[in-house]
Amino acid sequence: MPDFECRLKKYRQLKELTQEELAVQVGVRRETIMRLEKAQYNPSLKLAVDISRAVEAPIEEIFIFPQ
Amino acid sequence: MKKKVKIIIGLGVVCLLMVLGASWYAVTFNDSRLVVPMEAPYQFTVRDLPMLIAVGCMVLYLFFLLALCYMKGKKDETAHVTRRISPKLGIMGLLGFLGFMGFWTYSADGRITPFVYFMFFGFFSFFYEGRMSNAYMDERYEENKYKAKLKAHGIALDIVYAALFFVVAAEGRILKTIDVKLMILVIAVACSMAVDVFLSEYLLYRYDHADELDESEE
Repeated sequence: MPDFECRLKKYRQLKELTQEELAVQVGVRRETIMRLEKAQYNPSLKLAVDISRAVEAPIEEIFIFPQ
Repeated sequence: MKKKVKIIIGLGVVCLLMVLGASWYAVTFNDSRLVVPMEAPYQFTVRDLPMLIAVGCMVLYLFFLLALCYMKGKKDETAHVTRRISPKLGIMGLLGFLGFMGFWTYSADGRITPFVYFMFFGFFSFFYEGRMSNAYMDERYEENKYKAKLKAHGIALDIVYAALFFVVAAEGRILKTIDVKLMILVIAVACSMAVDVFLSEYLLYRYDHADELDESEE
């Protein structure tokens, strides 16, 4: 299980995007977004960057890894 | 789309009818040539033509079907979606029981080839492949696929190792003839291939649906 905190849901809702819309934007399945929001999937750097651009938030504020 | 499927099935039926008609012609008017095994070397006669044409058409039709499946697979691949397949096809896994015929053929005429049919147990994987049918292959899917394949290959290889170890360890004590050793190895390899194919799909499905989440949008 990945050990990080994910604040994607917060930023997604701020952008008023549904999971499905975000999934389409970044080219993954909705299930992947669901698991990302529950911090149950560790995304690739490319996906993380794509998500960060889609929700217009810095990557380090969406995915928070412990020091 | 449905019209295309109807045409394809219609072509198959026509080919099958041609083979049946040619068989009837050969049995009735051509001394059953090309229907029953012929001992003398084959020599062409004009009366063989219906059967040759019918079999030729059937072979062409089968090649056409294979080409269609290949092209469809390529199309799905470029669209990054899994192939569309019905989970019901998993029933074909029952063909694996044909492998038990090997015990009968071995005692009847020493043939062990039917043991290879144990491989068909791998068709049970269609149950799970069908459930993942037409799914978009994103990076999580690819990651789970490699993880599942790696584990399946490992388990399949373990089966072969175990069989090999058993054959070597039991040599001379339990396994006295080379036939029995060969039989065990053929069964082990066939089963390991079936396990490999089945587990690749089953584990992929398990990983993909692990910890089913509340799918409701909040």
